[in-house]
This record gives sequence, C-alpha cells and structure tokens, in this order.
Amino acid sequence: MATSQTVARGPIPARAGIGLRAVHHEALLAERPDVGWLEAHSENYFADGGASLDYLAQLAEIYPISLHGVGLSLGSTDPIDRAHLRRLRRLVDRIEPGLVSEHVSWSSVGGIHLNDLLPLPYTWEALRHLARRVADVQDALGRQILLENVSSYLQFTGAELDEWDFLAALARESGCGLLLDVNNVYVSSRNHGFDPLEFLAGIPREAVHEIHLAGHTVNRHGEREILIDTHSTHVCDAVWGLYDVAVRRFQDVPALIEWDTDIPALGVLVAEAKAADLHREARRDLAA
Amino acid sequence: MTSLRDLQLAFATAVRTGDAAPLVGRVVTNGIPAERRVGIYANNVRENFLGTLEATFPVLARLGGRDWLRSVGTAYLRDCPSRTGNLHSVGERFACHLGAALGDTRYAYFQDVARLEWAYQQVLVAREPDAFDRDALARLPPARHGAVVFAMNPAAALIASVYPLLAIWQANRPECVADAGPEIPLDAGASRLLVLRRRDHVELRELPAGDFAFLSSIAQHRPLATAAEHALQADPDLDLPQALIRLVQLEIVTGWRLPDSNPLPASPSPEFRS
Repeated sequence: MATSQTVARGPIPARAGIGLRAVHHEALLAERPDVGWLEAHSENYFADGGASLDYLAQLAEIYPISLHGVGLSLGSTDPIDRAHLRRLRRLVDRIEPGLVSEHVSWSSVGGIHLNDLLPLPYTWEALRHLARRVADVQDALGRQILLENVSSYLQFTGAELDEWDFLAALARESGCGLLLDVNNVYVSSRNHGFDPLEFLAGIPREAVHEIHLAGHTVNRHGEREILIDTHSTHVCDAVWGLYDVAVRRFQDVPALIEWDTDIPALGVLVAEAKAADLHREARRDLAA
Repeated sequence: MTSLRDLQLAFATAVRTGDAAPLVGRVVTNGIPAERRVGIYANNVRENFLGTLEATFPVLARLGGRDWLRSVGTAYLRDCPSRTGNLHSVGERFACHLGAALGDTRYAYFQDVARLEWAYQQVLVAREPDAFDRDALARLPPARHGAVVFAMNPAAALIASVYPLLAIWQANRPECVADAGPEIPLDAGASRLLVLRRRDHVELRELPAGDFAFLSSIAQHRPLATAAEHALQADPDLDLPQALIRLVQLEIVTGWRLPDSNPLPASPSPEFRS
C-alpha cells in the first residue's frame, strides 16, 4: 500500500480523505495509507486524556485533520451548550484542524438531547435563528465553520425556502462555509421528490469547502421507498454520478468517505477514497 | 404559525412517545404517514442510544444478554434521556437506573457491574496526572503533614461492592470465550477495586482494606490526618508511611497540595521521599 506523503496540520487538500474510526487507529499509524486527510468526529475526542486522544494527536502529525461535530445542536431553540462548545474549542486548539464542521439540524430541546440530526423547517425564522448561532460559534472558535446538509425523512409544512436556498442564505447570513453531502442530497431528493441537480445548481460555488460521500440503505413502506442515511455500505452508482456533477461545479474541493456502521477493513475505505480521487480527476480532465 | 420552539417541542415529544399526534398538520406526508416518518427518527434515536450503551457496558450485555440490555436500555432512555450532545455521556446514570429497576432481585449485582464498567470508561478518557512534586513535599515541615491533601491519579477510580466484581468482570469481558468458566458464587466475597489506566490499558486490582480506605479519603480530598485515621480504622496494622510510598510509586497517588497558599519551606524533610 502506498504511504501518505501529505503534510499534517495544514489545510485540507483537494483530495479524498476518510473518516477516522477507532478500529483503524493502529492500522493508520502502522500503514500510513495514501489518503489525503482524515476526518474525526469531534465528540469522540472530547476526552481529557487517554489513548484515543493520543492516536488523534499522532495522526495529526501525519495527516491533515478535519473535525466534524454532531452534538452542538445548532438549530435548537435551547441555549447553546457552552460546555460542549468549550470542549470543541479545546480540541480545535489542540489539533489545529484544517476544517471544522457541524450540521444544519437540531438535536435537543427542553434540555433533552435526542442525539440525532433532526430536520429544521426551511423558514426564515429558522434561518435567522440558525445563522445567529452559527455566527456565535464561529466567534467562540475564532474561525469559520462549515455546515452540512443532512439526510431527511420528513419535511415540514409551511416551508418558505427550498433546502438549497436555505443553505445558500445561511452561508451568506452567517459567513459559514458549506459541507455538501452528496449522499444526503441524493437521499433527501429521493425521499421528498426534488431534483438533486436543482439542489446542486442552487448552492453557491464559492460556499462549498468540503464534500461528503457515503452509502445508504433503502427501506420500503408499501409501494414507497424511504432511503436511510446509514453510512453502512459503498457509495452507490447514483451518488457517484451526482458527485461527478458536483466536482464540475465545485472544483478542487476535498471529499470524504464516511463509513460508520459495519465498518470495513481500512483497505476498503482507502480504495473508496481512491475511487473518489479518480472521479474528481476524470471530471477535471473533461473540464480541461 | 407554530414557532420553531413549539415545533421542536412537539417533534421531540413525538419522537420520544412514538405518537405523531403533536405534529398533525405540520408534516408533509406524501404517501407515507407522519407517524412512519417520525418513527425513522425515533428508531435512530433509540439505536444511537442503545448502541452506545452496548459499547459502554459490554460485561453487562454478556451477563444479561443483548436483548435484556436493549430492553432495560429502552426504559432507561425513557426515564433518563440524554442531557448532552455527547453520546459518550449517556451511561452516567445507568447504574442508578439499574439499582432502582432491579432492587433486591438476584440481579441486584448488575448495578455494581454497571458502576465498574462506567468507572472503566471514565478512566479511559481521564487526563494524565500532573508531575508529583516530591522535592517540595520533602521540604514541608512535619507539623504540616497532617494538612496535606493528596490527589489520586485522575485516571483512577475506586469501586466497593459486596459482590466478587473482579471475578465477574474477568469471566465476562468481551474478549473471553463463551461459557469458559464455572459460575461465580455471588457470595464469594466483597470487592475493593482500584481501576487504573496505565498508558493505553486499564488495570483492575483488589486493594487491601487499609489502602482502599486511605485512597477513598484521598479521592474525597480529605487531608492526610483524616485519611490516615480512616485507613487505620480499616486496618489497624497498616504501615501508613510505607503504604503512601507504595501508592506514590505505583502512580496511584500522583499529587498533593496544602489547603492554604502559604509558601513551601526551603529546608528539605525526608518523610515522604519514595
């Protein structure tokens, strides 16, 4: 296996990276596979000490690191959890990641956390609320963060914006960047019946700083299908096709292979990242 | 129009109860009932929570079986929902929940197993100890020794139980082969366990009564005089200076301070050298 030649603690390169999972800590250090970067779930490294944090610190000397959070509950109407934010700030200071990201979602209300990425209504009220909180977090961290579009399984009535317009306005209002999850675009488009190409066309080119790729599963409800964002399998052909469109529109953007359930051997993730690199290079050649 | 706050409260209620009635009229059904759509989120919430519990309490999962853990975990999710955005914290009140749920049944010892597994997880992620300043301690006049507040290694925890926890834990670790050993009698003896992280692994060891009482006081930030009194009550024959030296050498006691801010004396004193 080729080994990484990347320089750590720098910006995230416009290559494919892989999600960092604990089962791969040792293999990554031993094999140093040639992937562009690693993305760690922030909350997995909120520890005060211990082996996981040591692994992340060691890997940060080898690979550029992105921190991807799932617990800030940015869209919630509860106050921002300042203790959570302080832990994130401490981790950011310690690891010096190339990118920091969170989700366009909420997960807590009334002091209870549901620990899932719950959908927001695409209304001006929700947009203003989220933009204020994103700006607040950016101030607290002293840097721009990226906000990721989530897979959703329901839409609220009374929407005032399409999802892509909501994201574009969020970036404009808060100054955040966007993390475009192409699998999530595909999953939500199938679940709600919108055109994923219209979604991509509605996202400002300059706002996207990272792309996510992942696998999903298909559940049936009578005659209807619901796609579930499980991160449990390979990127499907349809999502690769959408990624091809995305890399033409959002050029030189790093992409990440996410795999969180039924996690395969490291080599499988590295091969998937290589495939993402080949897709990007092929589209770039076509564009040239 | 419903405010964002009201919508989130209704959504959370629907997810937690499985009843989508609070969201009637607020969800685009598009051929799939709102209840079904909300159910996907309810399932995600439950699976995220239960998956974390299974990872946090593998010995309990083996003792009670995965189905039992998921069943009691579902009740725990209902009664003690998560209060943080960090899933790693959701097991914090599980032992207490088991204590209430299992009461005086033959499975009451599960509560203590849960306490041990939670301590194990906390030790794994605790901070490294500060350097022990032996020279400064050596300079302390003997008259002030009784006021010294020692610190236990942050990556250490103490667990006392009327059950043979160490044997139970050793026989039911995830890496043990199934049905490997004889059944452990629950009346085989009480436990006084130290859970200690050393570099990348966690040790469990039984402590003598005097050491355990001494460390328990230290863990409660009691001054040396009080800790010594408790230790000697537990074991009148304990050689306290030797015990302290041993605990420092083993990096179980890793720091000290005085309750006031008086400067440390310059003249050395040998009492606590190890």
